Amino acid sequence: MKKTSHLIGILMLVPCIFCIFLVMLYPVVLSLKMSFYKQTLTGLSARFIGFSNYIYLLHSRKFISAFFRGFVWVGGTLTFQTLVGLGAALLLNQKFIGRGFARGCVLLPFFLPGVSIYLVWRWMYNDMYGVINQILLDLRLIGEPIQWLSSTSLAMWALIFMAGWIYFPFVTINVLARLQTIAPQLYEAAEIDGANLWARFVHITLPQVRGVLLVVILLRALWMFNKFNEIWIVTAGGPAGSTTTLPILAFKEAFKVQRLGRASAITTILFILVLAIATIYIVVFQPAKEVT
Amino acid sequence: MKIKKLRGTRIAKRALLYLGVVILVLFCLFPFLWMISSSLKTTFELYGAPITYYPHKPTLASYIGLFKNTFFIQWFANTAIVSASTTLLCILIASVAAYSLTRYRYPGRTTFANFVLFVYMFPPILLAIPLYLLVINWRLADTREALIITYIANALPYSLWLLRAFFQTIPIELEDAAMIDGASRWRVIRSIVMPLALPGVIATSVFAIITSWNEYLFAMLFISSEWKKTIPVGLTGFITAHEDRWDLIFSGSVMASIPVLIFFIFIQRFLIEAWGSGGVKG
Repeated sequence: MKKTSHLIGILMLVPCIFCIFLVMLYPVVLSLKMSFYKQTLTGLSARFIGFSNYIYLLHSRKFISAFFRGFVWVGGTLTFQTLVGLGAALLLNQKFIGRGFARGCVLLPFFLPGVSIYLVWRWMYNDMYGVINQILLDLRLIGEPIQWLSSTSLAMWALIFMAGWIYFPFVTINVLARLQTIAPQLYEAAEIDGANLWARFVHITLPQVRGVLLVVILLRALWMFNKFNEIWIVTAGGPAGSTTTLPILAFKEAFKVQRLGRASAITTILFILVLAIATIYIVVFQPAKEVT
Repeated sequence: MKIKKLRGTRIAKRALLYLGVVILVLFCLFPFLWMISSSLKTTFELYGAPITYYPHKPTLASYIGLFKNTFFIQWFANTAIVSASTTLLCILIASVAAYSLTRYRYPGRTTFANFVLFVYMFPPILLAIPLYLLVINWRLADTREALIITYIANALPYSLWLLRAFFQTIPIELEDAAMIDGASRWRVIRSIVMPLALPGVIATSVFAIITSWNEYLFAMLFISSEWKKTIPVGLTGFITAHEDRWDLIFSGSVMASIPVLIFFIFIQRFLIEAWGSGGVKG
């Protein structure tokens, strides 16, 4: 009886396993295999070349700079997301009129169609018709229009600001959920003891949200390393490669110059990086623990 | 005197709070409002200097152009068909699996849940390159089916996790009691589990539908025919080497956002609860 019920349970997983195998596991294995081959888009001239693709990459300045640029991208957006996300959560946890509406608005950047949002940002950053320059000019913060997206030193920061704007709601919503579980008595007691706003934040709020913040930062770091669309649609990795991260480099290698083997080697290295973070997350935080 | 001063600081604090909230809300809405404002401008005004903050001569010209001279309606239908099929199949597969994970006690189910989460973190670009070749091999290049299969697998891990969290909150004792009373398992699922899990299923469906609606990378790689495109790919196509049609991009973006907004309002209340209970989304 017990054996058959086990069998039914496992059978119910079959469609799910099939889908994941077909569209995720098999392609990953294929990609790993391709990274040891010299292969073009037509796939006819695949030739085994061992670790050559990897060795080539380690000597390629383009690859090395894309690799480290990824850390600037992730570090930059993460800092933005975390600070703004935390601030917004603290603000939205207060009682005020229209709180529901404000909470809804804050989530919007995260849900609106990504491509449309990236395009709007690209337009807003435009040096001739962009509203960002117009606002800064009107406020007399700058004297002449800034070339946000065509400057090699500014383009990455423009992208980081945009991505921070899109993804901070994720931090807000998770922190807000945690903030709502903190007993108000804690704050009342501290207030009676004469603790000011900052002291209450440091000694009550921060220790309480530290756990969730850590998980959120880890997850966001992982996802930010993978981001492709945000950069591709706004700058396509330019100008002069100054916003080319690993996903962009891999895409260009695969679909612009048709070096699928080399592109697979790039994504494999990206995968190892992401896998390391994912392992930390799953081992340390054990998200699958059943609540019983 | 002291009370007056205290009241003064209280009012100042409230004012500061509201100021903060207004800035935050404006910050979040601005690009969206800018999209709407730009979509209502004439092309003359859109590319004019100095930049106007709101359309001085509001016009629907960009919308008329979008519907009359482009494939937008077809793209909209394509996106809707792909998103709806994906969501239907994904929720079906995920709820069966989530039910199994929470109701049957076979060994390895925690490992399986972890494994699914692991898969959820695969870089899309890692899958895109081999999938591009596979889709050609499977003779699915330039078809909706290719997108639907990919989107199901993409939405599955997250849906499974959300549904699993929901099923865990449904007390198993209810089902046990009904089974002892002689109800079959299917009967129990139909009359106890399904009604209780419905809010969770709806919420998960909305997530699946929004992610498929917004997807870009795979659609851009798999679809080549103009009339088979989805909205995101169609919109980026308005920027070409010859000319940029920003007017069409903005009206198209507003049209693409409307369904998402409707769904969003629908699940907004539920969001904070669901994520608080351990859901994740990328």
